[in-house]
Amino acid sequence: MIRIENISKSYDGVAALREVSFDVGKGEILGLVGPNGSGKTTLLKTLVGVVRPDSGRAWIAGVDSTEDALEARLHVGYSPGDPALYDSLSVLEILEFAIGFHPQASLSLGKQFLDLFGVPLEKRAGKLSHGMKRKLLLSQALASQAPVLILDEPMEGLDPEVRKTAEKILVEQAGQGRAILMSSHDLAGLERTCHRVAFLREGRLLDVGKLEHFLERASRVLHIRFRESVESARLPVGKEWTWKGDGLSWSLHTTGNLEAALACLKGLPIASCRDASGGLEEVFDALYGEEKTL
Amino acid sequence: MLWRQTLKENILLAGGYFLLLTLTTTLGIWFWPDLRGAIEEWAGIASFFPIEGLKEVMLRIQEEGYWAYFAVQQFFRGGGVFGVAAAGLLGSGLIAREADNRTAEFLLSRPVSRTRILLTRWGVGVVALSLPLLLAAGVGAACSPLVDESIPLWAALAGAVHTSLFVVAVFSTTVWLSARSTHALQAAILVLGFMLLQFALYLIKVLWHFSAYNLVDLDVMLPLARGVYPWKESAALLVWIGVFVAWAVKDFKKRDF
Repeated sequence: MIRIENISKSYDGVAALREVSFDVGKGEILGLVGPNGSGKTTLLKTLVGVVRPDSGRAWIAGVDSTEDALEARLHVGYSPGDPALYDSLSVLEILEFAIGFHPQASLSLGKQFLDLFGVPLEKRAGKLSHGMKRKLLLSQALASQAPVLILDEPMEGLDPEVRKTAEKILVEQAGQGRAILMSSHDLAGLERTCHRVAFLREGRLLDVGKLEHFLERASRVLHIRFRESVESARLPVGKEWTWKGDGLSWSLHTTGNLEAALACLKGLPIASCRDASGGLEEVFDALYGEEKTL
Repeated sequence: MLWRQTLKENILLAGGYFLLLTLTTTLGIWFWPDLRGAIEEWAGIASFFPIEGLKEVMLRIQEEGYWAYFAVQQFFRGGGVFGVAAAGLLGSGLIAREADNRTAEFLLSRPVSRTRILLTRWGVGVVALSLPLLLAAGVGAACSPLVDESIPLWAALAGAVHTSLFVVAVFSTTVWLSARSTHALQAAILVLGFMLLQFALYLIKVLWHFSAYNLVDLDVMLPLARGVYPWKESAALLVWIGVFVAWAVKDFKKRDF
């Protein structure tokens, strides 16, 4: 549904995007990750024609957005990274304005989302908090009923409860066949929602792939508490295993698969076992440390 | 939607402009009997000022009477001064305010073309600037019998149409600057500074031919009372408008936000 091919963009000679290429399929959520200034927002703006790329092409629902941005935008529900809105308009007026250009949009659906997020319809946008503006922007993007959702930091400023609700909605939307491309600094949130992740750094695509593929790179750690004190000599030994701790509390670090690690614990007096494996955050640190470029 | 949003953002400015025009028109008419009774004294006072334009205006009022006075009040002051100020303030924010307020990303990510955004907003601006001029001219024509004068409604409205073209030309220039600027204030200062220079040129006898105010001065407006519409000047203003609107569209279309 989204195809990006060698998109490059520079501002006053400084490269913001360097030949970025990836795609997002139907029913897929792709998380765009990178530190500030890595080019995430520029890339998303390029896809909807707010910024013109210097070179490269992008397709949205089969439409070349670099050639016909207007036609491409008809297929996109977009939530900007900057939650700036027309202060003199009410929430309802902004919703009407935002979705009014989408032929397939549903005002009642937009109102339902706003109601779900607790955003009052009559309140002026200028009086809304940062989080409320985010909710309004997310609601209008969802209400557009477009087959592609492009969301620039949609969870930023949302409280944990609303964030979970929003994540659940996004997963449902993907389940209905929508392609979702979203940038975020919330790596734990991306782990909960995304099928694939793309990492950007200084305008370059460092890596893109399935979430599981990245999580497998993270360290595997099990925190184990025994019912009785266990000496190190009693613990199983393996090439891929390292034990840390003593007595009742031990951590098993493994670079192999978790199944084999769990199997080796058979016969030990385990009181509790907790998975403390690293997630995307650890992958992020590793990637940005080694600067692996695709 | 676009027009409604633009109107809502600028309704206070447009309303204030209309009230100012109507109020000054009414006050101007109310003051006319005093001026009519002492026109030679006023002309004498004006002759003390080293401003050729002012002397010229007083002379024309002495010669042509109420219509010249009405034209100065309604068109030169109403359009050329208040209208230009309103055009500068309204036009400067039309696009640049989106960059100022960081709403450009929200607006431009909608499935609507930049040409349509600009032309719709420009259209709302044209109505907001022209309608008050037409209404104020109508009010002026209707109030004139109260001071024992009369002016043909046709002439008042035709003068307002021509003045509107001048105001819209200034507005279109401001819109072009707004489409290129990152701050609304930048566009406003540039255009109002330019128009101030034009006004200053108009007041200097040897340079007044180079001023844009020639297009709306008494030489242009006085023949209206005899049913002669300034087609040539109106055509020049239409060309001015067309050029700047086309430039504004072109520059807005290729701009990154």
